[in-house]
Amino acid sequence: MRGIWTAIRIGLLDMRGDFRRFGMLIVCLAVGTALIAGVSSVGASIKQAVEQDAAILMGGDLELSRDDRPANAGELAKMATFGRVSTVIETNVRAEWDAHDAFVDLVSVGNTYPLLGKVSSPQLPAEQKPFDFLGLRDGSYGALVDPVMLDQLGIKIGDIFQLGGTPFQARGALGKLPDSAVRGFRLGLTALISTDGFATLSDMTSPLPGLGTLYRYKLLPTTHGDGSLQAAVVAAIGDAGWTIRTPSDGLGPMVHYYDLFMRFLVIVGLASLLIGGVSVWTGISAYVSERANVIAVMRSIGAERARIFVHFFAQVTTLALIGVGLGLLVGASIGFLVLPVVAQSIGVNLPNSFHAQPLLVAAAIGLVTAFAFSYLPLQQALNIKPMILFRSKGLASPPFEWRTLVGSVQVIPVILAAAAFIWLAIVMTNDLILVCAFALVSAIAVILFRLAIGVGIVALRSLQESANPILRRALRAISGSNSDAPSVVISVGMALATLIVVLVLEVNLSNEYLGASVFDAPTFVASDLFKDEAATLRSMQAKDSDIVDFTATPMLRGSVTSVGEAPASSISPRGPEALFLLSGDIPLTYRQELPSTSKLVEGKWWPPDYQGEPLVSLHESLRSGLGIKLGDKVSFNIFGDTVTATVANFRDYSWQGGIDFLVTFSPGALEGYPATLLGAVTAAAGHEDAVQRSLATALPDVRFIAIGETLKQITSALGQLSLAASLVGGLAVGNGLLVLIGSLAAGRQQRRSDAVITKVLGASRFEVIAALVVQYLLLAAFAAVLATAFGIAIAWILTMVLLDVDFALNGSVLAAVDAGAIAIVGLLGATTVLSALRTAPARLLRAM
Amino acid sequence: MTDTPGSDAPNRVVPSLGLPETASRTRATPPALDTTIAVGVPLVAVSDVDYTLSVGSVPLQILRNVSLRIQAAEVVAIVGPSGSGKTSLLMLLAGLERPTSGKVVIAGQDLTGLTEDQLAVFRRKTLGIVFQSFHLIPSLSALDNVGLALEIASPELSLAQTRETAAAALTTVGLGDRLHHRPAALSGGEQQRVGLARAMIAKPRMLLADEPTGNLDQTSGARVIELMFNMARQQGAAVIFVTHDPALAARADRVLTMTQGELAENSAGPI
Repeated sequence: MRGIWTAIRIGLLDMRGDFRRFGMLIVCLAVGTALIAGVSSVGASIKQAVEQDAAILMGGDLELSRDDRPANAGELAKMATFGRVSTVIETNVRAEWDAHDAFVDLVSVGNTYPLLGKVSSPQLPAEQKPFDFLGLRDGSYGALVDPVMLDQLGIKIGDIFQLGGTPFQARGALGKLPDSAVRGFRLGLTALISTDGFATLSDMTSPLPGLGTLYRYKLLPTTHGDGSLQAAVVAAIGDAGWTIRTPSDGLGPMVHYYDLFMRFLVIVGLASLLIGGVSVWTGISAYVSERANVIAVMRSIGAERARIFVHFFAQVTTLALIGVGLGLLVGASIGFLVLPVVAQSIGVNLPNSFHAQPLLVAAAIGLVTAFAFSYLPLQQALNIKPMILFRSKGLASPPFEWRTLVGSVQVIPVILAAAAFIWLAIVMTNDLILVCAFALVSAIAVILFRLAIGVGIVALRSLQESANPILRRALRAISGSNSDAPSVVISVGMALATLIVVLVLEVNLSNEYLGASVFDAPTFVASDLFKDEAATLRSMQAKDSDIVDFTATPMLRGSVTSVGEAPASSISPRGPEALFLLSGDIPLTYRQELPSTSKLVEGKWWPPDYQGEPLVSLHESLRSGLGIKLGDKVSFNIFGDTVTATVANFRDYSWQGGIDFLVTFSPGALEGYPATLLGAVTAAAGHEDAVQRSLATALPDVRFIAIGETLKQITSALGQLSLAASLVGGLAVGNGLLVLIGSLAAGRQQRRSDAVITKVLGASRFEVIAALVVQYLLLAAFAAVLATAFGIAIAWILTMVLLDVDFALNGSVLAAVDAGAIAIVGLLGATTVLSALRTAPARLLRAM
Repeated sequence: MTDTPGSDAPNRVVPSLGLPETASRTRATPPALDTTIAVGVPLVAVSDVDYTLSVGSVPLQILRNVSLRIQAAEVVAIVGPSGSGKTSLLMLLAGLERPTSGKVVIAGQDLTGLTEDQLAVFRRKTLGIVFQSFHLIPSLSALDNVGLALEIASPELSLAQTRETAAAALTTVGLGDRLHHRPAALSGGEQQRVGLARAMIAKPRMLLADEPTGNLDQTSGARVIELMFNMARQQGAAVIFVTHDPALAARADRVLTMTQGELAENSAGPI
């Protein structure tokens, strides 16, 4: 035992002066551990909050909803047999006062709302239900309104304003609804009224096409709910038109988006640890190479292999503890810092709490990574023979003997470490398939890079030597017997592939969050414009630089009469879009070109000059909602005529675009019918008020809805998540770059020696540096080609399978990253010898 | 080919360097290896050794049919042109390389059958090595460099005992005031004296030195050699050294000459 302690003591003493070179290794381990600790801690907080407060978040133990009609008396009676029921009706209307208007997300609640939790408003007395507080008073019903709406309308609490064409009194400022997390994304500024007030609305016309009314019924059973409640309610109600959600599946899209974010972070965390592991590998390998002399000296004075192992293992353990410790500190701090932001984004109360398990798992993963990746270089160290002390100053550590390792008991710790890593990763992610796939892909990547560079070296050796001396020297260095090409290609390739996976995922995640068109969203929209009004707006756009864009889309109304051979009345729609499609008159349009806010999911868009049989483009959700497919016929009743169109394609559109149509016809089918126009005006940033004034002056009869502000408000929460994804992605990218730099630590001393000798033999500094730059540019380019292809393939699989979002590539970003990485590797390869070239060769030769 | 069965060198088996008794009395002998030798039995017995390296696919014979006997406390110089196999012979004697054929027996122990770790144990108890390029561990002080060898050889010693013994050894080589200096702060001669103290700290039976003055000026070299011979004499250790310096070789009891891998004895004095 004392022998071990003395070995550890000398091992730690032997680290003096070497901490600087381990800086990157410590940082890589710290970043990977911090990401995992932070992600797991935040995830644990959310899980805890959701599990504890799920019923409160949803406002009940069960929610029944539909968007075509309210529950009838019979259905309400059946619901009431299970417990207390609260009614919530959600729709969009316009609010007006004087010349001002606002686009409203209207929530109407019954007298039992909320069953759980509280509506937050400074004016709402704690003991009073919102229904009572918002009841008829002095001839007007009351409303709690978003404070932004007060500003937008220019009113104050107590004032009367028009809501859906009916006077309402602003009774207070609305803070937060207890079930806001499950409401999903709603367009407009929120206003809360009573269902009695809702019944008095005189103008229920949706301010925008495609927005409907949703009737929700929250159910709090008298006996505590169990798994059979949902089945019992379904059986009792007996109508497939109801969507029934439990707290576990009822959390809104924001939580879904956060779930995506968490998955992304988990991938980034695992990837960071992997490249941190590569950094450990290259760092320790380089260290072992440079410490070959020390190892040989220890062997020469009688140190056994175990002593050497303990000596260096003590050093690695110290470094790992420092890196992991720093990572835990940062990770735990990240958790505390981001929890309030995440809580605000997803509308869930997330109290700051300390979760030991995620931190322990992160620490264990960090330490296991450090061990797994340092074990093999340390085994390599044991093969260093003292005879090098007689022959040279060392420099060379023996090549790794994989075959010997695989056939010996020394492989057991590696297998155990790999198993421990996988087990811990499963504990962390709760996703066996993800972890196994990640491990498999990592192993494939290493093998792929090693095989590729092996083939490349063999090919180089068989080629005729270049006439250019610099290129010749570079290629010889790559294909030489002591070449560091395999380690450089593997480490650069792994780091770069990881970067590419993270970048592609980050882009796809941001696209999913923000939508490709979010920044082009219009500032104002107006429906039912006439052609002369559209012409006025066009001329205003031409003259007024404050109006950046104006588009007018034809809009007319019609109802679906049949889908294929089936009459609409016989179809059981699934999902809100299908329900809306069959709900009666719906807005329709026709277009020559695919709207910029849409993207094709299946089928082809028609040519701009198409004049054939009517074709129709539908929202992609109708495929499952109606069981409809390409080539099917859909018939519409438009102004009494039956218009039948063939489904040409399905498309998706980002809700952030604000306006789009569920049904879009090809040119030639609807032009003969009278149509109004849906206009969208985009104002220059900062000039929204001026544009609004000029629109009101030019077209006083047209009601423009300021949708831009609403969209901004909604997207800000997602923007925070997107920003967080970008920051984390950037962190991983920085980590990867550190690994690139670290990868060149291997063989640094050999390069310095070679450079000095080459210089002594008469090569100029330029020639020495140029050959090194070319050598490492070629290696990095080789690694980049492999890593890019591999990284994109993996990112595609992860995007489609794990995140389940659309896949897109940002080619210019990837090209920039590749070019940057190649340049960094090329330059750093050369800079490792700069100091040697600046020093007088004689001094270095004496030291060699 | 040289054999020296009848060497008249004394068989000194009880070392005394003037170091603290704690170190000399507590020398541990690993159970797997018996490094004690009977009086009259040669310390080194090399028999019919061939040593061949593969350079690519081409075999390169370094040593040819080398046989050699060295008695305890004998001082032997190995001379010869570069590439003749001197250092290779030294490596075989140190158990750092294995002969292609033949046998190397040191202190009664046949090295050819030992594992790497058994060879390490053999080295720690039986021999010390002085290198031309010193090969001190740069991150450790002179005291720790010397103490490390004793820690490895005698792990049962306390840290205080180890440091005390190492300090005494460094004082013996004239570096009592440089205990805490790291190698970079020492001159070449001082570094080599630290290397010598390290090699002798565990009281080995045999000291191997590869051109110990090759990197030193004349004055420093002379001092190192004096110390080396004195310490070996006091400890009763055999000294086998490689040198290109005829004057140094002349101070050996015997001079062996390597030529193209073959060993011949030159008993006529300086080469």
